[in-house]
Amino acid sequence: MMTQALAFMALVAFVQVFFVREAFAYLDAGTGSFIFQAIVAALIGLSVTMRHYWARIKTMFRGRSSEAESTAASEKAAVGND
Amino acid sequence: MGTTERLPSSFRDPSGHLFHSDGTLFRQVNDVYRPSFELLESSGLLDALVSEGLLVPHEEVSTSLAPEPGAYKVLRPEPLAFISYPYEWCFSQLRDAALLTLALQKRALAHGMILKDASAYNVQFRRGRPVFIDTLSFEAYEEGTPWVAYRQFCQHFLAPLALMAHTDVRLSQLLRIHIDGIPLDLASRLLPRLTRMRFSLLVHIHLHARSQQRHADSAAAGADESQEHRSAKVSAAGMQGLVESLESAVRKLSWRPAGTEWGDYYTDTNYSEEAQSHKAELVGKMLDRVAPKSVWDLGANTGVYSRIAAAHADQVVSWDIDPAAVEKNYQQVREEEEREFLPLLLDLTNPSAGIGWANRERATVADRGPADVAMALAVVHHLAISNNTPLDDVASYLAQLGRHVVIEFVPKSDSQVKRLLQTREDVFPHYTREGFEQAFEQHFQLVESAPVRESERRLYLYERRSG
Repeated sequence: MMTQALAFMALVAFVQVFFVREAFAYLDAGTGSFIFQAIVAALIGLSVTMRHYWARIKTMFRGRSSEAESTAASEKAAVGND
Repeated sequence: MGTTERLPSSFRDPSGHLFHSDGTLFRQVNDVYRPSFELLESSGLLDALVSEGLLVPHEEVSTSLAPEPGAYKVLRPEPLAFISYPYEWCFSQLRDAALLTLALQKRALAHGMILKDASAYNVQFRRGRPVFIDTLSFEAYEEGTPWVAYRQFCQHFLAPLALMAHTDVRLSQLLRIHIDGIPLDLASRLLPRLTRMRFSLLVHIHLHARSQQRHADSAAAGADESQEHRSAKVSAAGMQGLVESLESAVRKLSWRPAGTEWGDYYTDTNYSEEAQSHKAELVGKMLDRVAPKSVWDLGANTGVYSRIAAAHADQVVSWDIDPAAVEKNYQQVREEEEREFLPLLLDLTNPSAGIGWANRERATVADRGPADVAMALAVVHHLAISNNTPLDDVASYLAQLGRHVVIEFVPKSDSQVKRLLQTREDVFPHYTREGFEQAFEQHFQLVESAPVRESERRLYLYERRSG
């Protein structure tokens, strides 16, 4: 848990760099929520990508037979981190 | 055109608003929403959502009906039998509404659109299932932009669900106080520390709340908010991951009533099978006489008599004070795909009030009535004795809720009433059959009454006096 929290703090600085444009809506998204969402999405995106590559590496070692398993793994990775 | 009135709840979104004209509900769509509406149609999203039953269908009618300038279209949405609010839903109803919202978000993203809001008030129950009612909640998705409604989703759905599941199911009532959802810092404080061990709750509630606090602090310290409020980048894959993470968070939340046997919940009755079946028969006969479209069963428990009513009416709202009873009732609606049957949470001694702007955004229970028949079976002693409500006041409020009333009088000699009086002084000299009839006849006209066999109870069918 601590490492995950630290990863978030590190990503705060990282994501601040990615300001691209104003996005106003009739709903106030809340600055804290907006910035935080970008961090969460980046982290989840990163974890999905890492799991995807990890699954591919495992497939490489196990041979081509487990292609189906790899698909299942990346689907699972996309679902969440609980 | 006759009388036109804007709905008191429809003022936030400049894309359009709802209005009543001669009793029919319409939605004005403004010019400003034209690009989004065109995309909603041309992308195929509108058809997809309506055909899947996820979005309420509508018909386009003449723009000449528009009550305000700037109209691009006027729609006539399919009418709903009853409007309910999130603080009246049981755990699974709120959970299903959350999952519906996320399903819409996924479908929208697949069609190049996104939900611009995620209010729980945009979900209603139709034919036993949740349905989205705001046709103007969609806008074009621009890759890179975050989800404007992320905070609203967490406040309206995730926070109350987590509190109900992990702290106490009664915390759903915080939604009555916080009309835009439960503030995340409050949710974070009320949730057990253990919920920090769950990644999804740690992130979407606890750390999310902390991030809001940090930005509020820096804004208070004079930081440039406009600079701060520029959106951070969220890739399309990140957006998909975010939605899936929220969905996983919601799916992992569950609630079962503590200390009750799920299977035989509510068998706590003091009368014989014969009395029970005779009562059911009398209720059926009385309802048949009225041939109601709508029935409200007040104090429905798990809905046994509501189901009898459903055989005689188009639509039944099955109200109860106990979140566990409403939960069980809703589970049955879902399992047996019962249509036009809506279980809801209600404390009849403190019914849903008018809340929001000018106390009119969300209507009171009475304002959403009257039903053709209000049923109050095995309820009157709880109101008159447990809550000390004078019988005259009971009758006067029921006359607001139903054009007819099917009501059961439970006398002091009944063991259930004896139990209520066991631990208190009997300060109810007027709680007698005569006192009951006298009170009700001030507001109603008696249609028929009959004793319930093998019991000391009596059923009445009353019709409201006009005026």
